[in-house]
Amino acid sequence: MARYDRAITVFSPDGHLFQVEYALEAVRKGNAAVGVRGTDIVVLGVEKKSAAKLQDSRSVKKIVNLDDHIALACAGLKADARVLINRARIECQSHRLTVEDPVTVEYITRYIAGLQQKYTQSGGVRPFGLSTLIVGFDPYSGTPALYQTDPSGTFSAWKANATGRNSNSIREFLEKNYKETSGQETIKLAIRALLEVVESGGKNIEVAVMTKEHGLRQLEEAEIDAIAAEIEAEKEAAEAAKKAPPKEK
Amino acid sequence: MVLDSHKLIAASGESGDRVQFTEYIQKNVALYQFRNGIPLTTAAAANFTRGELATALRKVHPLAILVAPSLRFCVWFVGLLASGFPFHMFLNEIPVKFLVISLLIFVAAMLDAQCTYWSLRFLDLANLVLKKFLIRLPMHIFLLANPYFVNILLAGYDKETGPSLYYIDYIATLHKVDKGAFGYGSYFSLSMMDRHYHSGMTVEQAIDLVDKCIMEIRSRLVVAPLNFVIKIVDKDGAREYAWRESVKDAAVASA
Repeated sequence: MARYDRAITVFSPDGHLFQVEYALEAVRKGNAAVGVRGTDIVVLGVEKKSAAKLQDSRSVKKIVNLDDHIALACAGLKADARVLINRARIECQSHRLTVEDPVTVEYITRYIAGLQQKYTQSGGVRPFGLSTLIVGFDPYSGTPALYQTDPSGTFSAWKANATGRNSNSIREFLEKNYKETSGQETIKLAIRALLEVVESGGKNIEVAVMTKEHGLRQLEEAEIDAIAAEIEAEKEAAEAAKKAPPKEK
Repeated sequence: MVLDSHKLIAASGESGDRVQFTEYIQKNVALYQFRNGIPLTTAAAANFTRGELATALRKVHPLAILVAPSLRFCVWFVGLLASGFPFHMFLNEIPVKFLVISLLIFVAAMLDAQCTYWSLRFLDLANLVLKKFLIRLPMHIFLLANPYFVNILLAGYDKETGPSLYYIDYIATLHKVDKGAFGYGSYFSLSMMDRHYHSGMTVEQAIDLVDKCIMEIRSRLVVAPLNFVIKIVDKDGAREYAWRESVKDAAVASA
């Protein structure tokens, strides 16, 4: 067993690529990230470790622009992410230069997934320890899109998805609660999903919303706090409603 | 062409190079903004543009090292033959070996400049003839480098420094200027601007001056272009301002 995980990208006899599975493990240990697609909006949210007292919290950004109409959030090794993001940004501009059109969300997802796959099949490299959520608007039809990629290089389209720590419980929550929403409702759903696994609001999550007209916008901490408080109030109201009927009986 | 939200780039020169180079600069400026979260200042963009031109100017294709000088030599040598240079005198008196070596050194060091000069003149002539067959030899077949043949005016507005204009030509000269022009029309418009420009002009005054220049070019330049477009950049961003057309697109379409 041990010999197969030494050499990079060599199959074990039962058909596993251990390095890729370890990369997936790194993703599972990474911060949670959530993406929700609405009808006119896409929302990305990530869990963030509370910044050290003296740290400039602006320098730690986990949701980034790839192009005017594309944004990316990821779970896993942040150092690997920098490289991947840089390559994707160059490709976005390069695509504009060669065909005079902005990239589609699917194209850039395919490119990133292709890059990740390459690193599972070449010598002397290790796979990216990254799973990414890519959101954006199709430059032609104007429809929002959400894609996910993982270290093995597969990618898939979603209405709402999560990756990283506790992603399974978030995904279950989303499966239960997902509705076609728009605007503020979509933001609320994304934050609610994140709050399933993250304690308290504002400080510990980072949320960015993208609309067709205004592109990507990072939500302020106060805004997130306000929405978190709203959600909290709704929850309490729902619980009270649950408790109330027995009292009446 | 709009470079980014607060920058304009105007380019003249070889049409292929012009499009290729300005789009390349535009995409790099955009990439910088995504990487760093803030846009380049106009000064930075101008220096970047100059740097790219300077690099291209000195970049040598490995094959060109062999091909370009020999091509230049051939043209020069044929020229000598044609002019009736008395080669037979030298062949009789000096050993051939010495002749060959000295000729090589001679060519490599001393006469390359002259070869280049005659080659470029020859190219002009050849192109004149080849025009009939719709063929055009590019200028760089006789040169080592392959520079972009574009002259650029770069205008931008920065919050800290206000508006600025940069003059960049194809051999990578960079100047910060108040007014600038390129091409044949520049001979008329530069003097026009020298006469009428003063600092602190309003937009209307500046547009009026541009109109004066356009009028001058139209009335005095034989090969004046038909249409002009005026774009401006200020604190509200870069945008198209007006057209000065002597031929409308619609008229062409109906014809």
